[in-house]
Amino acid sequence: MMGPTDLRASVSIVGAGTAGFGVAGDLNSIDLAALAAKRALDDAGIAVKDVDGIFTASAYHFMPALSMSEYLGIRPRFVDGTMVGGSSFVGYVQSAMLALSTHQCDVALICYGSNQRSGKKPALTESNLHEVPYQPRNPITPFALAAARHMHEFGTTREDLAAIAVAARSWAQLNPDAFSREPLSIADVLNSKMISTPLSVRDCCLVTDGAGALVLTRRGETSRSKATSPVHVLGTGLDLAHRQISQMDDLTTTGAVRSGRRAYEMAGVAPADIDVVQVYDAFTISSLLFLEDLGFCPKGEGGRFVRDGNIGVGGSLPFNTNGGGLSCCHPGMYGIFTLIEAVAQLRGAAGARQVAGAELALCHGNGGAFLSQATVILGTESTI
Amino acid sequence: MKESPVSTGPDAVYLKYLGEGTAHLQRCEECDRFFFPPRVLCPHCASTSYKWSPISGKGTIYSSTFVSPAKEDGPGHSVLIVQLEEGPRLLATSPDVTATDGKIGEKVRAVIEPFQSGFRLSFRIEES
Repeated sequence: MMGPTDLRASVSIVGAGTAGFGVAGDLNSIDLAALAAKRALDDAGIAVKDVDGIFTASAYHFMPALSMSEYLGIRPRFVDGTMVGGSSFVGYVQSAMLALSTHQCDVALICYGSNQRSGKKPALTESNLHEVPYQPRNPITPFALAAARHMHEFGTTREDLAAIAVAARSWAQLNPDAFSREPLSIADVLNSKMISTPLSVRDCCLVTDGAGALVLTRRGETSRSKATSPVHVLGTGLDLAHRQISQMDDLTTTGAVRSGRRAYEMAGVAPADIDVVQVYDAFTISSLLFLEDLGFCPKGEGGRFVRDGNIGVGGSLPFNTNGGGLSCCHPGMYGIFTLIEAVAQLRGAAGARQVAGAELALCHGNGGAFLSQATVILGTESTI
Repeated sequence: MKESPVSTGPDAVYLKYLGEGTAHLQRCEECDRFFFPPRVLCPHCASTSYKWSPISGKGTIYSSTFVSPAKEDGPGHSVLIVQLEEGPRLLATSPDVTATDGKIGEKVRAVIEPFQSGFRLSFRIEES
């Protein structure tokens, strides 16, 4: 009987691509995802027609895996269209690993695109009968409730949260593809428009267009790929916690504790081993909770950890090195970009923001208001 | 005459009680626990036997936020998660929670108030 650790390093990311970062003009969500997919497949040296596993979700398409497959002219034999928000794309690494290692497919394509900024189309979502009368400003209000509780329990301050936005900006300033690169200070964040206390507009992610794609194959099947430096999947973990913020059992502890533990166990590594961390930072409080829940600082000490400068450029923990959803890009769902930045770092291809000698990366995707969590640990050849 | 299934579904029953001026939640007949939002089985033990039971309306503010007005001169409003003394948590509002005073941890009591075409729970701070 196989167990999770048997799957460690069974598959590799052999191609990555992006498209339409920032403002994509007239290209729609599927156009963007297809461009990113083509670039990722070119990067891998694999033809589009060889894709036989598709992994995608969308806020605008009812059956996005079908729309995507038809558009690309492929006829997959494996599909995962699971929709658990922005964590979906990090979770797809797990299902792609299972599908590839059992030969349910040979070339797995994970892709996502959104023209959220230019298209201004409403997302496909339902409202909750028992929440609508209280007029939460979604998606901000649920995160604000978590932030307010963390401040109440642990004495975290708005300045601490602001330090997270400022750290993200410091990395974005090293990334030519980042959407927001102008200087940002703690005071700028504190003085920006309040949206849902304690979160102001600078505690919130960007609204941009953009697309990303990844190609995975079984490790060592180099005949399928000319990629010079494949990045290996060492560990994966998921957790589905709740659907509505009012049903979250502890507003200051997310399911990242569980998804992270599962991923660390499969990979056989600990938080202290990780060289670079990429998390889905929809809001500053997201980064704070994930730093704690993924084991980079003790519960309740996230405020102190970020205040001490640990996550900005030059800090002890390279964190969201592309600028994250707060400063790089946020096209509706950010999850896939945690993986794309980790691949750039592990390939040594991250330019001015390259973390020297990065061999182990942790990627973490969040869905909705801390409702679902997915963690993936990636490594270079030397980590196998 | 057979009642329409729509009017007897768990959500509809909850709202019907609210419209009549009382808050009732489902209470499991197997494990005795209250649960919310309404559903056809107990999320604690999966029993499908439950009774609609009145609640005290007493609770504690577990967390709160104040949502800024969409227009500069608008009033804004609070959104709370209230921990009911019966166990369940729910989203709610309170006129006593402001942008500068979230009142987290304070004891509250529910008032049923009309909202748009229906009713909702608004919570007042309990004088100690």
